[in-house]
Amino acid sequence: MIQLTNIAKQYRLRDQVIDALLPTNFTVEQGEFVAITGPSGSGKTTMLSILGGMLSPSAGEARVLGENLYQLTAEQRARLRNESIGFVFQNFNLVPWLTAVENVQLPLTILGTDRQVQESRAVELLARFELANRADHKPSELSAGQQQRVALARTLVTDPKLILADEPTGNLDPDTKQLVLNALHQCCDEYGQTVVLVTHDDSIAKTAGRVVRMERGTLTEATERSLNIASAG
Amino acid sequence: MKIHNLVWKEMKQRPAPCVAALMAVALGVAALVSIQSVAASSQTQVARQMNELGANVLVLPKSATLEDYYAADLHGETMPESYVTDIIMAQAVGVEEMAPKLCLPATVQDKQVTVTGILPRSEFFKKSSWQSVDLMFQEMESGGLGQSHENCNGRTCQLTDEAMKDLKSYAKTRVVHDLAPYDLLVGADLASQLGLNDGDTLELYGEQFDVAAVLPASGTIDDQRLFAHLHTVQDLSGEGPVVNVIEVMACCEDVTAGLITNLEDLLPDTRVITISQLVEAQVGMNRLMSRLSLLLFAILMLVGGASVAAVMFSNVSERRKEMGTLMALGATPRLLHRLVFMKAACLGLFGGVCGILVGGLIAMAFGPMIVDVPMSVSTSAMLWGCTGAILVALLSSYLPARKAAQLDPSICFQDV
Repeated sequence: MIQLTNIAKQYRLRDQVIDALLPTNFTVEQGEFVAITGPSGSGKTTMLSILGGMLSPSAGEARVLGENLYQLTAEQRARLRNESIGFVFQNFNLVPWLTAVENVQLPLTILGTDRQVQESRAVELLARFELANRADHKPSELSAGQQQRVALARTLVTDPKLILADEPTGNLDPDTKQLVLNALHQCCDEYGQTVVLVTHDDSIAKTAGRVVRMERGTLTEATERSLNIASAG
Repeated sequence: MKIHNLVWKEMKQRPAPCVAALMAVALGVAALVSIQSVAASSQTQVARQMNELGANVLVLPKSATLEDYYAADLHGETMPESYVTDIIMAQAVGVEEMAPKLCLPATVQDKQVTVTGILPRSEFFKKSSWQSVDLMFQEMESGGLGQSHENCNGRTCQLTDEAMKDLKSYAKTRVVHDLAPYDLLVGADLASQLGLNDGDTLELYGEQFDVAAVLPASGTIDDQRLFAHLHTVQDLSGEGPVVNVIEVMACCEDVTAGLITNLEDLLPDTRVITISQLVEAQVGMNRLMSRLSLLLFAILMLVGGASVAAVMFSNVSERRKEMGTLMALGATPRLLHRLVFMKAACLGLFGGVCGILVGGLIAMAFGPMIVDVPMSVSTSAMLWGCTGAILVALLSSYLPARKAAQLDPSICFQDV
C-alpha cells in the first residue's frame, strides 16, 4: 500500500537548509491502522503531505497504491488523490460558502460524478454520521464536532483506499473525539481501508494497530513503553 | 453539484468585490454601446435622409457661394438655362429629376417676398424640340429623366405622373408637371400672412397672377415663397434665359458620386455640389464620436481589466486554504485555472450585459436630445462590447489563475 524508501525533505530558509525529514523508510500494508506520533516540528505533517502526493520529497522514492507518486504528473497525482486518498484535517477545512451536503459532495463534484449520485451518496454519509438534519447548514452554523463529522463524511464519499488523518481529534470534545476515532477504526476494520493517523495524543495513538514515532525528522517504531513514558510526560 | 455551481456560490458569498469589478467592466461597455448607438443612429438617419432627399446635387454659378444659396437663393449670380439641356443631352446616369430655378425679389402688400421661377417637367420635353435633336424625346422617355436603374436598390426612383400633376405635391417632390405662365404656387406661411387661398389673384410686377395652389407646410424656406413659371420670372427679371441654380435629384447616393465628376466635366464654369458634402460635417462628427467611444472603451476596459485582476488576485490570496483543500480533494491545477477563468468570464459577461443595458438605456434616453434622431441600439457595439468585456476579464485573470494553479496544496495542513 505505502512504501517510502530513503525519503527525505529539506527546506531552504534564506541561507539555511532545514532537514524536515531525514532519509527514512516506511511501509504500511493494506488495511493497517498506523498512528504517527511525535512532538511538534518533528516532521509528521511533512510525512503526511508526502504520502498524500502534495509535497515533493527532496530525495527518495514514495510508492503509494502501487504508483511511484512523484514520477506522476501533478494532474495524475491529483486524480489519484481524488479517487483513492482521503484526507481528514485538524481544522476540518470545510469550504465555508458550501452547505454540509455540498461539502460532502465536493470530491465527487471534482471527479465529475452525476449530480444525483453525488447527492444520494452525500446524504447517506451525513445520515451515517447523524447529521441528516444538518445537511443544508453551512460550516459556520455547525459545532466543531459536527464540522469534523462532515469532514469525515467528505473523506469517505469516494470510498478511498487510503485515509490520511492529520490530528483529526485535536479540536474536539471527548465524545466527538471518540466518535471520529470509532469511524476511522470502522473504515479499517469493516471496509478494509488503510488509515495513517498523525496525532500528538498518545491515548489516541494507542488504539492504532501500529504506532511509529517521529523525532527530529526520524521515524522509529514506538514501543508500548515509549508511549507510556510519553503519556506520563 | 457542478463546477460552475462552485463559482456561482463563491461569488454569491462575497459579492462586493465582484460587483466593483463588474461595474468597472460595465462602465466601459456602457460607454461604447451608448456612444456607438448614438453615432450609428445619426449615421443611419443621415443616409436615409440623403436617399429621401433625392435633390442631392446642386449646380451653381461659379461665383456663387453655397452659403448665399442657402441664405435665400438670392445670390444674384446666374448661368444660362441652356445648361439644363446640356445635362439632358449628356444623359448622365443617375439624373432622376432636375429643377432649374431663378429667384426674384418682389413686394406684395408691402411685404418683401421672393418669387422663385421653376420649370415644369413638361418644359423639358419642349426643350428636346428646341434643340432639334431627333432622339431627345425618346431619350427623355426611356433613358433620360425619370430613368430607373439597378442602383435604386428597390427605392422608387420615379415620381408618378399623378404626383407631379398635383400642384400641392410640389412642396414634397419639388417637381410639377405643368404650370401655366401666370399661375402661382404660394408657400403655406406666406399664404397665411397674405390671406391667400386657391383661386385668388395676386398682382406682381404689374401683372395679374392666379393662385393655382397654396402649398402645404414643408417646414422649409419654401413656406415663405411664391413659385411661378421660370420663363415668366425670367421675363419679369429682364435678364433673359438664365437661372440661379439647377437642383438635380440624383438616384442614388452611389450614383451621385460619379455624377458629380460628369457634371463638373460637362459644365466647367459652374460649381457642382453634392449635399453629401453638407452632411460631411455631421458624418465627421459621428466618426469622431465613434472613435472617441472606442478610446473611452479601451481606457475603461483597462481600468475594468485592472479591477478584475485585483479582485482575482485578492481572491486567490484570500482563498489559498480553500484552494489547497480543493487540491487535497483532487482538484487538478487545470481545474483551479478553470475556476478562476470561469469566475472572470462571469464577471466579464455580467459586466458586459449590464453595460449593454445601461448603455442602451442612456442612448435611448439621451441620444435623441443630442442628435435629434430616433435611436436604435447598435448591435455591433453590443457584440463587441460584450466580447471585449469577456476577453479583458479573461486576460486579466491569466496571472491570478496561474498563481492559483501553482499553489502548494500542503497549505491545507497549515493554519492560514
